[in-house]
Amino acid sequence: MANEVFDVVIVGSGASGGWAAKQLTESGLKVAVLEAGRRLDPSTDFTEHKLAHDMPLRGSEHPPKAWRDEQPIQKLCYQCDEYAHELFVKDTEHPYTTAAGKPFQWIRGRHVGGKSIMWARQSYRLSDLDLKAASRDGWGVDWPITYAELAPYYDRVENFVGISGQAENLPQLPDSRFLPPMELTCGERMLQRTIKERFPGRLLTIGRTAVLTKALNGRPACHYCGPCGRGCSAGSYYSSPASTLPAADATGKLSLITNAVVSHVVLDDAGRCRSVAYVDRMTRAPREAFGKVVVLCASTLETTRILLNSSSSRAPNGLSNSSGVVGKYLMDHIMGSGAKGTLPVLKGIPDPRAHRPNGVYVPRFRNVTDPHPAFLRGYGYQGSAEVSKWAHAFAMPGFGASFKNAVRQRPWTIHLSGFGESLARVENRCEIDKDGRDAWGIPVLRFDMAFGDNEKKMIKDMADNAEEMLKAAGVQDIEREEDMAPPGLAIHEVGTARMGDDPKNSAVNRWQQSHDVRNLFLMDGSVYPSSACQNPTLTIMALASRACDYLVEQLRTGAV
Amino acid sequence: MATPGRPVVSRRELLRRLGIGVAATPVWVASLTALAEQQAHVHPAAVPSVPAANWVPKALDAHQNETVIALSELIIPQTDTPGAKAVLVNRFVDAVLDDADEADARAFRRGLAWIDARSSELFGVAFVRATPEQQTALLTIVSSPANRTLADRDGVEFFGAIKALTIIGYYTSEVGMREELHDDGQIFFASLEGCTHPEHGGNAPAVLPATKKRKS
Ligand SMILES: Cc1cc2nc3c(=O)[nH]c(=O)nc-3n(C[C@H](O)[C@H](O)[C@H](O)COP(=O)(O)OP(=O)(O)OC[C@H]3O[C@@H](n4cnc5c(N)ncnc54)[C@H](O)[C@@H]3O)c2cc1C
Ligand code: SF4
Repeated sequence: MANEVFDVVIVGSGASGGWAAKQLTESGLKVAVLEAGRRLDPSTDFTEHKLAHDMPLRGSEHPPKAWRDEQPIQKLCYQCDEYAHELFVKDTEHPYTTAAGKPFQWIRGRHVGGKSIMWARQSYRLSDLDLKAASRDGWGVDWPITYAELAPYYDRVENFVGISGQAENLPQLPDSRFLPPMELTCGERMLQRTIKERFPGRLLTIGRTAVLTKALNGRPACHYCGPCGRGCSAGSYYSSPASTLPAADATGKLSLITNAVVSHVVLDDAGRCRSVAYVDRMTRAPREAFGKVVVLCASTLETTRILLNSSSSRAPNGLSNSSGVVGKYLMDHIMGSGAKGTLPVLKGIPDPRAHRPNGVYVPRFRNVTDPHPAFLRGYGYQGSAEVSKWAHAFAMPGFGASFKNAVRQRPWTIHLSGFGESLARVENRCEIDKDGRDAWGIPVLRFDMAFGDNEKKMIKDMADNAEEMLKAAGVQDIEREEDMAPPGLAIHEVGTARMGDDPKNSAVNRWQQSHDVRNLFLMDGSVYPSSACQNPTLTIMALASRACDYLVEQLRTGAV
Repeated sequence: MATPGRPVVSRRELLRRLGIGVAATPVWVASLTALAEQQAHVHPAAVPSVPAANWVPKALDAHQNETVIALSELIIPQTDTPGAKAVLVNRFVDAVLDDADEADARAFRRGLAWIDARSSELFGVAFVRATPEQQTALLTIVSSPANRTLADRDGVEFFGAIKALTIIGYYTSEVGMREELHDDGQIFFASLEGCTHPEHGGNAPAVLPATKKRKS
């Protein structure tokens, strides 16, 4: 393999890299995927079938001490618990820095599959309300593409990946090609009915999720064990190692190179990508993979880091950065606001939800038709209603037999939590910190990001409206939650190498091809011009699919 | 949680509904079939695991361990189901302390000492040697935040900690899960049920027309 030249070298094997690998190999191209981490073994690395008493600390919400000290940032993610923490990086090996007083919590997984192993699978299409938001309200830039252009690629991705959900025919949240929806619980039905009757323009629908409610393309239907974020031995939710990578492998055209920690892209004398330079994770030996085309799918911020670390005399500000936008306009969703309470009217009714690996969704209703006086853009709620197993015991008074008996009355709990759009701002950025190196000697990122006034106002509105809707549905003991998590923690980071038609203010064109270097493509969330409020991964894959079509055509005609 | 009355599904039916053997084999692991089989056989009469007989505490000394046993059983006692002592909550508490950051472990040990000190003051003996009535009286003081006098503040705080650990240790134990929560630990469900109460806005349960025969 020493100096083998691949048609395409893809960096990253996660949600986006898996998709690109599948589509490009199926188009007949010879593809290498460089992946920094190792292959996971479902039988030893996944813990979704373990019960709490199988774990030394009974499934503690934090990693055990030895890892906790190495994961001060990762442990802040709800999924980085005793069961699943080994799916997250050690911060000590993967450091980064932040501007004073501006925390940024960067959550990562480095293994084949990337974050598609731990993700929460919520999958929603964007609409022109999102893609053309700038034209409506004047903030930022439009996407260079329309919903009509993207829709066929959503179809293609969904038909392969499998998205379960309920068609609602909403202009602001187009329907996917759905597998059958999952069921709502009693509490969710009550809230659904209240919203429909009392809140015009709003509705509650079952979450749209990349979990199979029917067998699809050789993958079995979900068996509702529940804790998907610890890995799925059955491959019933979308992760690249369960679906797109095996499809790519089946073509015989895929070389998946693991433990390949990419540092930068190397240009030839003509200024085109020649190869991708990487460090062997185990031996630290420097290596190079040659390709006619390079596709970065390392996830938004790692892709940005690779671009910035690829600076040369020809590209002093970093690769594909003649516009200067690379690293800028960093966005993540805002979260931490909503409301919760109990539903005493359902007392005694058993919870049919069992281990449903999905919640409910209240699609965006702000700035859909009428402009909101306080803020631009909007948010959606994720939530659920279920019977508490035993966590309600913490808040109950007393001790002894009466206490134990009282815990047997298991309350129905319900919550709504908002996920909102954050605005693209040039000052929210990351750059290379020249003083920092990771465990492989590669310069690290420094973040300088804070949410602004628009986001703060939206956070308040999220809490107000969650409270109001729950109250209307008869929810008791309502607790408002009006916090804003630091950026990063929503794990929907996007935007630091945005796409656009104008090479002066975007890094890649409408086909995600670098304006500066024609055989370089970015196919992850880095290309987002605005964040919308929907979870990004489905759109990232649809965009990648569209870009792959273009790339294949360019190679066929010899244009790249 | 397995809902009581959930229909029992045969292994073959389960595999069929999951799509195994129908829509080709799972792309990733062959072990799924084995897992489903294991579930079908093991569930619901799983044999509880046997705790190690030669266990010794790592983070607690023998007296502290005895105190934890007494406290946990007072918090969740044996009733018609086993209590915290029987499910060995003390071993869980010891594991947590062994894993805890040093400052937290120290605070917990201080709390244990506080309980003994207060017990000696009130009853002239260490907590484990006080009568059940005396133990209950002491816990009644520290379990009501309203009683937060300066003297009992540390005790109230400590009680919050031991109570939380007892709750976790008890309800996540195998016995707590099965006997108290009536959760049989099932992890394979052939289908997912939803609300079937029209009064909540749910769909009434589907009734299959009796005449409809299976085509073969
Ligand atoms: C707990 C959690 C919940 C989430 N929930 C949702 C959700 O409900 N819905 C949703 O849409 N999104 C969700 N996300 C986000 C989702 O996981 C990401 O949007 C998605 O995985 C992005 O795909 P990607 O290919 O860009 O990155 P990843 O899937 O992270 O893959 C990137 C890959 O690149 C590799 N890589 C990185 N740097 C290098 C390098 N230098 N050299 C070689 N390889 C490298 C990594 O090891 C990794 O395998 C969630 C994420 C987490 C962690
Ligand atoms: S997708 Fe279904 S089978 Fe897989 S881990 Fe999630 S709940 Fe379990």
